[in-house]
Amino acid sequence: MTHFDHNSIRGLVQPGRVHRKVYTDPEIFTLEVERVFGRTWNYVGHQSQVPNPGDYFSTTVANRPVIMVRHSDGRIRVLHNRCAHRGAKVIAGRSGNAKLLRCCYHGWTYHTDGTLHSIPRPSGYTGTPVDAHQSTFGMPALNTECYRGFVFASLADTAGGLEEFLAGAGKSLDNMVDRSPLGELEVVGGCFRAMFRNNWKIYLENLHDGIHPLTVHQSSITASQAQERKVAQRADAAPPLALQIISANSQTFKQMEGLQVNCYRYGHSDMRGFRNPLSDDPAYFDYITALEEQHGRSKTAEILDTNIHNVCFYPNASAHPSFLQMRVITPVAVDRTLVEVWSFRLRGAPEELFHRTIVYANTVHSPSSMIKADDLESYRRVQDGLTEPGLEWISQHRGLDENASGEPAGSALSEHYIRNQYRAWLSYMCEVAA
Amino acid sequence: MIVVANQNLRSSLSSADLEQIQLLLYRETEMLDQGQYDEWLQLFAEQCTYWVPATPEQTDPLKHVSLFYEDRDLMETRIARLQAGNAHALAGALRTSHVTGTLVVEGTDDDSGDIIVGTRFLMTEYQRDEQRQFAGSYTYHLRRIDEVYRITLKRVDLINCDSVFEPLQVYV
Repeated sequence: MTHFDHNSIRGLVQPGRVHRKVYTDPEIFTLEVERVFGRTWNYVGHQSQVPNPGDYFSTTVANRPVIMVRHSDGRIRVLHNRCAHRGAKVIAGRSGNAKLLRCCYHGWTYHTDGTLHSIPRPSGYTGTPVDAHQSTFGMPALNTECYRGFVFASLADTAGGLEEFLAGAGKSLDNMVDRSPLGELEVVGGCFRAMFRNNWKIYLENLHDGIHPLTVHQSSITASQAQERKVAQRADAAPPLALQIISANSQTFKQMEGLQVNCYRYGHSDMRGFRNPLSDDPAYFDYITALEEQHGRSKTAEILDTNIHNVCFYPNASAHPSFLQMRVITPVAVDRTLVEVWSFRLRGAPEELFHRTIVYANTVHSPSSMIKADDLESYRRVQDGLTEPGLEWISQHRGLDENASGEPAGSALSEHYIRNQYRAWLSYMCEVAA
Repeated sequence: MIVVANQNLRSSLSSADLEQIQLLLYRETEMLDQGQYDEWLQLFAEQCTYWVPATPEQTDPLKHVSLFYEDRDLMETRIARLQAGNAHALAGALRTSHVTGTLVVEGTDDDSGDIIVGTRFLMTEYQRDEQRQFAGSYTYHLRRIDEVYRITLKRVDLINCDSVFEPLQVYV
């Protein structure tokens, strides 16, 4: 039994500060999985991962094994990946195609909409509830909705509509799709899976943090800028994109102050104006032409000027719209977080554009990233620092105006988006409307 | 040990060539273990690639993500970071030990004519009371430039290349 009632949970979050237990207490973590991840919409995957009937992709929602699967009716469903008999995971692999989903243990078999197809020697169930209610012994579907190709699911039947949930953060998904001259995205190029040694919230709290780069990334900024100077002396002096991406962390506090961080309901947020990373590339001009043919000049300019660096779909996903990335966050344990990173190809765009997406993924998200290693070091040290009692409160005061009612926008030097996350966190944890 | 699996190369490579290749590839892992990164980089040609694919039998580094995909500019950048002493994630010495198997001269690359040499390896990495093990195969592309063999490509195929990873900061 938990000893955290609503009042004691509320006591962990105060104006401008939170108690270290929100990052370190295993009971809080268990409650978060049930009440935060269990009550929100969770990003599951993209429709292009299951293009044909019978295609499936296995993942988790609020730590339950699920599969995203396309049925013969063309609809994508997210099903609990558990056999109704003894509970074995029906699908063991990551992705594939199947006409029927068959459990490896006793051969219970399901249709790709989750309904029971057959059980071995059914006469043994005569007169039992299985016999009477075969339809309830299936792989039940989660509440599933698709927004412009992005598939979300919720364990809660009471969750409002997905569009209402995404609120202003949904514009980032629009922007990703609109960047394709054909209005279609496709997941390709593989997935990075990284284990972080920190609580899941510590990662989300870094997404728009404009103060940390100069400290955390000092070593890679110095090395990258020195290399850029060497490259500039060569005849073929095109600055490598990877170095540009690393060096972008050198932005001054004044520049960071110019970035707008918008907060939305349910803990979501985005950051605009980081920098336009594509401006000098020749392939980019072909791409603009293709986009203008589709959307016209002014709409094209609007799409490309919507320069969102990071968006947070609280609590389980974060996208980088201009470089076409989606990171999916799985809370593994109070001090372990799995982050998976997917890349999208813009259908109808020059192939070089996708190469740039891959360079971004490699530079920022690969295990060998010279940027990420130092981020993870910092997250890990926060986790280590908070694990034992001593100093009990974590400061999130930067930019705090206690008289303000809600904090819809601020700069990348403000911690208002973290406070926005905790407003949503409290709502979910204490069962009140966001 | 080095063996030549390719019939044509068996006659064209002298024992001096083979000795040079063996010494080059011995130094390649030894210098990583010694942390002599400047000397390590000198074993590579000016135009060179260090590639660790993120999926088995990966053929394309531009259309699929990689665990590492570095040209000389990125290799020099990484080495500068490793040597600077101010990288937070490198607080606490990071040590490695590589062991490689028999070197097999497999043939030549159709496009570049580079000699292809393969071997199996084990690499153990230690940092802050934790030890990790990596295993797989190396594929080297070698080119004779000014009488000296240089590495144009080192490809590392890890048996767990598509697994969950914590950071990889040094060359495998």
